[in-house]
Amino acid sequence: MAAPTTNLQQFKSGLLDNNPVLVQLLGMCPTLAVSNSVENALVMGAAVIFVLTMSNLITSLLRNKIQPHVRILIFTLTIATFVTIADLTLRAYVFEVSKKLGPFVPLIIVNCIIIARAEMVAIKSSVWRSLADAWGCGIGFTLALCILASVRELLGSGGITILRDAGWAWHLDAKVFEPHAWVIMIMPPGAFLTLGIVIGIVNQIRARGAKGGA
Amino acid sequence: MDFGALIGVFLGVVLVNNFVFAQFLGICPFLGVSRKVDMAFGMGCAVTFVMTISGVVTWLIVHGLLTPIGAKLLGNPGALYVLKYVVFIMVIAAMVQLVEMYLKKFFPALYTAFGVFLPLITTNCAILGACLLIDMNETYQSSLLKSAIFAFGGGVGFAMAITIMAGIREHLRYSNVPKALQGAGITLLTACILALAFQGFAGIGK
Amino acid sequence: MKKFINESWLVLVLGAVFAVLLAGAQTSFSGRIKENQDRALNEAIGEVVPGTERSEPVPIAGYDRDVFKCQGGDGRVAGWAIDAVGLGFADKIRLVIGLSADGGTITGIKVIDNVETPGLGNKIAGEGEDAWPEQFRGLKATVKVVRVKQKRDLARNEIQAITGATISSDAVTKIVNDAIERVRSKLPTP
Repeated sequence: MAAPTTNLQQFKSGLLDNNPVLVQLLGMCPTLAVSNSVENALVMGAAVIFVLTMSNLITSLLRNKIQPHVRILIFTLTIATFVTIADLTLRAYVFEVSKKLGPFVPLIIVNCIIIARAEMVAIKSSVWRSLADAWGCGIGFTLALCILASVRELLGSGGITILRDAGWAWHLDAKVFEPHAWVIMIMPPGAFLTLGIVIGIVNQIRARGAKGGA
Repeated sequence: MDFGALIGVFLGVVLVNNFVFAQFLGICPFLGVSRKVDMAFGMGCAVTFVMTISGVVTWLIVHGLLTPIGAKLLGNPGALYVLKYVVFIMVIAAMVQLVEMYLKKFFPALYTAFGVFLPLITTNCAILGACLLIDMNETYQSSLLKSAIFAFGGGVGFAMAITIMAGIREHLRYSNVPKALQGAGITLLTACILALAFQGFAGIGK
Repeated sequence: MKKFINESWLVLVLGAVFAVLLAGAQTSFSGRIKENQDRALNEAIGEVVPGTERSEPVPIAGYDRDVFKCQGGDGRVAGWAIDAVGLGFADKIRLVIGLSADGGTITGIKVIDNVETPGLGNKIAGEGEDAWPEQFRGLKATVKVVRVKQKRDLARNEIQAITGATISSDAVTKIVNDAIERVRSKLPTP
């Protein structure tokens, strides 16, 4: 696969070909933990997109000023600051969801996806390229989470519920086969099972694609 | 001191709420460093060591520094809590460095055994996760001893999980796994069965 | 010294900027967050002690959690709400117990935090008229609540366990009994 040359390619690379979760296998902990409902997955995805955008933006803006041996310190400071801001915002506006996410919002600090993007792309690329990369990877992460979460919530809770208790004007509360739900799917074993199978399917598709291309 | 409660904390975090199988903390090393039993065990020991120290130090910082300073200077004990996450990650990074230097100097045998894992541990979410869980739980907020046992137990639970996994994976090498599932796929599916088994520990405190 | 400044000015400047950002976020959100945190508790108090207009914590010797004096619109004591926790099947269960003004009757219970098994144990937090916690409403607080399994005719102060979640049912019963035992006799006379 050729290295991405345009901003659009950079964006697409993170979204599909180099999806941080399904292909690079980064950020597994939040993927398993918060994919028990689509709502959690969306909120977590939004938090990661925000932190990733800010971290890539600041790293890219300062890329000529950062001394190589303090860069990790600067990355960590930046990420921890914006994670704190994201955490406060979530607790102020979607309190119930943020309670369910528990330690996984602050744990974005040690999410390998974010520091990897700063180190591999933002420190040596223009601002727009870094932003394209942040959005590609961030949306790719959210997409992977949502795929897992929709399978797990549909089977495990019998339907998909978004924002029912937030008191907002819009909400989704679709129960398809509630009395027969497989509760185990929204519990820890279901997380490992679903992610294992999805990664297997992705590998299969990529192997086919590689064969077809050759 | 209620000894039974301390055992309850320990068993609770090792078996019922195991960091890997129930709380999804430390999945990256669980998938990455679980190929060989001796490697997995070394990683588990290093994590337990750093986790216990970090858990205690972050507890001391929150209750010995942030809370009194916030209360004295700003009139609100919680005023400096906004700095928690920044402080936690810095403390963990510093702790890992210190532990590494200390082991290298005074316990070279121990250092050769699990020193190679120490740099990896800074970004191990189980360590920060343990500090955060201690900080979020009111039982641990009030007791340093319980926090220390929780952190130690978290590490022991992680070490146990990763060692069991490595034992299974050493045997998996000789089995015929479908190509698409090799590596992470089959490890996750095995973890699913282990997690199912660990579900059976729920309610052990009763 | 010059080398030090040269290498670390960026860290110091960023540190200062981030500190300002964090302080801003803290001041703008802390009110809302506090409100959110109190809301679950206040809603639960209103539900377990009917007629509550406002509530205030009262100190109870030997009980380390909050007990709230609930007052109605006319200023009379409508009842008492006890904040209680205990160990459930998976992890801690936190609930609010309502007592009548004389402390003799349980006016309701409401689970506000639990991580019991979805579909089984988490019925302890069920809502609505047929929900499991409704069994506690109207029971005597002067004697212990007894949990029974699959029994046809319930005697006084008996509650039916959730099928398949006896441990969760027991946990709630125990938390309720323990909290009432420790608090009831020490309630101030209204």
